Amino acid sequence: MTQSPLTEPVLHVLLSLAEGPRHGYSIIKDVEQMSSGRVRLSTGTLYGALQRLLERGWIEAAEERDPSRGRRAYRLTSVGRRNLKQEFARMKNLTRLADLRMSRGRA
Amino acid sequence: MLQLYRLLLLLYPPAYRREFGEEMIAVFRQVQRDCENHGLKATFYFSLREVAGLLDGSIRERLLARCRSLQGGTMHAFRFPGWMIVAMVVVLMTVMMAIETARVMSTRGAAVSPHWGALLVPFGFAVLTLMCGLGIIGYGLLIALRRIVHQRMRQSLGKRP
Repeated sequence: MTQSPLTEPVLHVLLSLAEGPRHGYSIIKDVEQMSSGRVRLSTGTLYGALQRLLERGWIEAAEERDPSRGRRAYRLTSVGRRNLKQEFARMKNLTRLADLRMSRGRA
Repeated sequence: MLQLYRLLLLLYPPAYRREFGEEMIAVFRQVQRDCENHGLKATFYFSLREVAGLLDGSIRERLLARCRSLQGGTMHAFRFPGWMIVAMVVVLMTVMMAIETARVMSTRGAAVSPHWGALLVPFGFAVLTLMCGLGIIGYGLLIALRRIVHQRMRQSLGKRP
């Protein structure tokens, strides 16, 4: 089935989790760093994305919630990793096509 | 700001707050501390971003929760009740009996009055066939409608995050 493209916050969250499990705060900081400060996730946006990804089984809670600190870590599942790879393949194709068309346009 | 944050969290559906509320507050406090170290401007933009994020997120979650409940309700509404199946079986049996009666009468040479007997059976048969046809069409429409509603619901809920 053809999948629609991922939104930028979701893509960044998945990219952040691709390296390993992270807590919410760590994801926000990592995304900010990855995008050179261009993408700054609010907690509302982050947890909305996390909830949808959890529902779809793309990510899972890596450990039990720590009640003293009120946080838990999330990690990519195999389904999430596979879908992320598919998304990259789609983006690569798009970039290749864009390069081709742009070079033809210049010629 | 934390009080405002807690207040805005109330806009989210209760299930969502139970699942993520505590965690969101903890993360918010950490990010807030960072921003306070970067000056007033950073704190101001952070506050704006958080308020906008919470408003956007709460509306989205409310809509999703409504869609989910609507989906459940629609599925229930479009489930065919038992009486409808019984009624359809009765209609089908009546049609078959009418066909059989008509066949027997035609082979016996119409024992009833030639005028009424000739009209009654075809008329009844036509009515029953019509009812049956309408039932099948209605049944088909209901199935099509059910499929469309399910597809729409799946699309609205199944949009990639």
